[in-house]
Amino acid sequence: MNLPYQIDPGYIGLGFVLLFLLLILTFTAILRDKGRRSLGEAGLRKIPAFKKLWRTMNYSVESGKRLHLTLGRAGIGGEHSTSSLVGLSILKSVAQFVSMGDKSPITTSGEGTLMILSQDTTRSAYSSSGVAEKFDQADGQLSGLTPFSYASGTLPIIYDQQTSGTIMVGHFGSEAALIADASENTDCMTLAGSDDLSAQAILVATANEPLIGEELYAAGAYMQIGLTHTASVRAQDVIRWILVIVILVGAALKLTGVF
Amino acid sequence: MVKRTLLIAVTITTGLVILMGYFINLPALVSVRKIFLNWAIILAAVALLIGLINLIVVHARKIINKEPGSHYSLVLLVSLMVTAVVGIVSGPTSKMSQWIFNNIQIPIETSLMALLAVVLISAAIRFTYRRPTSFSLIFIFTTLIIMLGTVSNPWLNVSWLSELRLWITRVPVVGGARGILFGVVLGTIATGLRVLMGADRPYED
Amino acid sequence: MAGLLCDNCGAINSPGNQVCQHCQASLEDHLTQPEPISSDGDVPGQSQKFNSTGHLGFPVDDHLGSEGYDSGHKQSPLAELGDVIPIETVVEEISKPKPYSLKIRVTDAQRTNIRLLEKLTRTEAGSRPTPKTSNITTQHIIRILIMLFLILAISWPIFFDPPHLPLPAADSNVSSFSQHILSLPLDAPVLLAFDYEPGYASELDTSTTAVLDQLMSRNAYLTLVSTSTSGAIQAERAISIAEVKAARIYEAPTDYVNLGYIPGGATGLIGLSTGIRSTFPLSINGDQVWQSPALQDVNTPNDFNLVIVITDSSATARTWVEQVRPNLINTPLLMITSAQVEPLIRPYFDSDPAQVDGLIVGLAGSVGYETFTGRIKEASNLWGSFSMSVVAAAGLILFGGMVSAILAANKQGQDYPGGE
Repeated sequence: MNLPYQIDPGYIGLGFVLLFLLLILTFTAILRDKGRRSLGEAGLRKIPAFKKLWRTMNYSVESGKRLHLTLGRAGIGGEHSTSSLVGLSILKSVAQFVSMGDKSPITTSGEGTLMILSQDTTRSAYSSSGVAEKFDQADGQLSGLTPFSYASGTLPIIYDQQTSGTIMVGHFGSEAALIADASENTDCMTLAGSDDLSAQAILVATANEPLIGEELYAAGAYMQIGLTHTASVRAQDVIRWILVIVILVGAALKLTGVF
Repeated sequence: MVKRTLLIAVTITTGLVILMGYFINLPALVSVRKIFLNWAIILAAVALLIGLINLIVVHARKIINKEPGSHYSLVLLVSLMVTAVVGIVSGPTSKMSQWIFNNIQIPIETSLMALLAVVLISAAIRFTYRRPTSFSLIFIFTTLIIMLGTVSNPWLNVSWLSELRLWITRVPVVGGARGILFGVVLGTIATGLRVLMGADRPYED
Repeated sequence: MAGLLCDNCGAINSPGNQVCQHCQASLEDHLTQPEPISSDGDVPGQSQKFNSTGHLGFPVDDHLGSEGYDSGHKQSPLAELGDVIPIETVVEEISKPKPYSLKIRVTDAQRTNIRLLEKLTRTEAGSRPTPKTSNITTQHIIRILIMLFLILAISWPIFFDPPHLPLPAADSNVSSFSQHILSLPLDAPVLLAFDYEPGYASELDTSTTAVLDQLMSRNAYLTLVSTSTSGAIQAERAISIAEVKAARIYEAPTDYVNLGYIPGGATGLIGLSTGIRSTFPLSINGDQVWQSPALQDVNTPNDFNLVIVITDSSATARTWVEQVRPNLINTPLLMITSAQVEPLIRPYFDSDPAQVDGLIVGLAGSVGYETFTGRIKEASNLWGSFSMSVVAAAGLILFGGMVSAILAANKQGQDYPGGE
């Protein structure tokens, strides 16, 4: 079957993005209006990994140990940049929370722009908490520029810095296994999420709190960073259902020979 | 307040221009988008250099403060300097650079890859101990089918194993992977839109 | 309630008694209401009524001062407070105390709680010694055993009589790959992207060498690029290895050119797909290469006869397919990938029309390619060791997994600090 007119695929893509934006704005307005601030009230399912993360953050402050965040090896200019942005959001939330503790979180990354942003994020989190003097530039480090050198550079941080937990959020490949394994060996909680499928498969086996698929991108909502984060998770759910229906309808039309 | 508003305005404007330039085929928009993308490429290259400087500073500080493991930092800095000097003087693809790459970097990285194999086997063994659920049993059995279906087995030469492996990699794995990728893509778009809206501000001071 | 003090014997009598119960003396004149004491210490109308022992029966010291303990007055400031302070309680108190046990009555539950509290407070107050970590743990031992078992499996075919292991056949993706190279005209320009990390060199070197060997046999002009920082030098290494295996000399810039690193990932590839000359004005060695006979007609990747991507990452492979493939109208896109990438890239090969025109996956694909071309036997020589090691690994996972599952069925949950 041929359509009587040709639709520029660019406009379909643009329409999809605008629909997504509209849904995010709508859900933000609904959530703000009805004052639904908790996850249950916002209709989000429980992800135990984030509950354990809060507990680990509390423990790190109480015990005087530090948290280690590793943000992967993607910068902010590529297709994996959004996973890095999620990592930075979590870093900000963590840094603000543990600023009351003795030791600042230490952040490692495998890319230059990410390293700069991680330092900046930590500094701004400390400034907003009124403890700007606690910031140390060495708290944001570049561990290495190739995947395995990045993993190797991260291992001494885990073993030597007496970390209470490791948070791996960003773009990782199979080298994530080395980092997660080192964290497990030091009896630390390991929360790990990547946008790479191979890494996700590996982290299911090696990390005790893996994040699969879009759970990584829901981190903002579960860390209660803002209403927009919660709204965007709800918007993703709606879009996902739309896609499922489109795929099923399209497959049915293809099977019946309509297309 | 003014600075913050300006930052958000620049972010939103730039993001919208690049987004529109990708979807709408207007020559002016496309050329502006190309300029911004070139700037992004240049920034990424400069950030690489800044990252290197940070690496040097962090490890130099470790050496000066005689922190534990500072001898490894010394090795790192010496290696970095030697490789940089060799690359700058004789070229990045010269015989000396290749010697360093072939005899140092390749063996180290392939050794780490081999270590990864041991780590993954150990993790697979511990998996049923850490998560004693039916899911973990399915995970392990699928792993075994894929492994045994890939290679030639001197004791268990069954053709159905390789056919099963082919079916698994081409049907459920692809379907599952695509499903997860959909979720990742939606999350990526949502995160990008939040940055465009100014709700996510990694640049905030 | 105030009692009545007998002046005669000092005994306490109940109020209302007329006579003392002990000595039968009259109690009529005994005053029960206190009267103010005069400044000189006399109690108006009272002094003659106090006994020699003084008020409340306490002996009065004769040589005490005039503050009220004077022997002439024989009374204390507390004389009028007989009704306020019950005398019997005071009298009782001055008797010998009853013996009380110093043991506190504590129940078993309270005792348990006390011990717990003591333990908690003791550990909080004192410094805890750093737990000693042994250099050799169970995990270390398990890993050493895994390593030894794998080494044994890998070296078995080398040192002992290897069992017969059939080589994998070349499937359709491999034969398609080879056909595209065989159909190349001589001296055709080919774009090769080395987008894999050095760690994956051992897996991808064999297929890369076999493909380069076939390309060199067609005298193809190789243009090398990479989106990985170490890609440029990887490419040089691959050329050096292929020269040895193919017994040919391939020199830059007459036979090949290394353009170097494309920064920016997907953004860089978009730039490459629209204009390779603007992305790489010079080669990595600073040579002007676009005027050479091989590349003078090349402006975009579509002007090459073949584009081959060698990668270990599914994301990189997809990026090439999504960003560069749409601009390849007449030019096939071939891929050499790691085994982990296959599930995501194979649909591009299987699709109609195919977006990837040829695919070599992992060591198995490499063996199939060598079998098909009948030239180099690099991967085929490794196949025995590879198969034995994978079988050994599978055996370890199966056996270890069963043991773990049994142990898990008996264990109590153990958690990391701060966890649940």
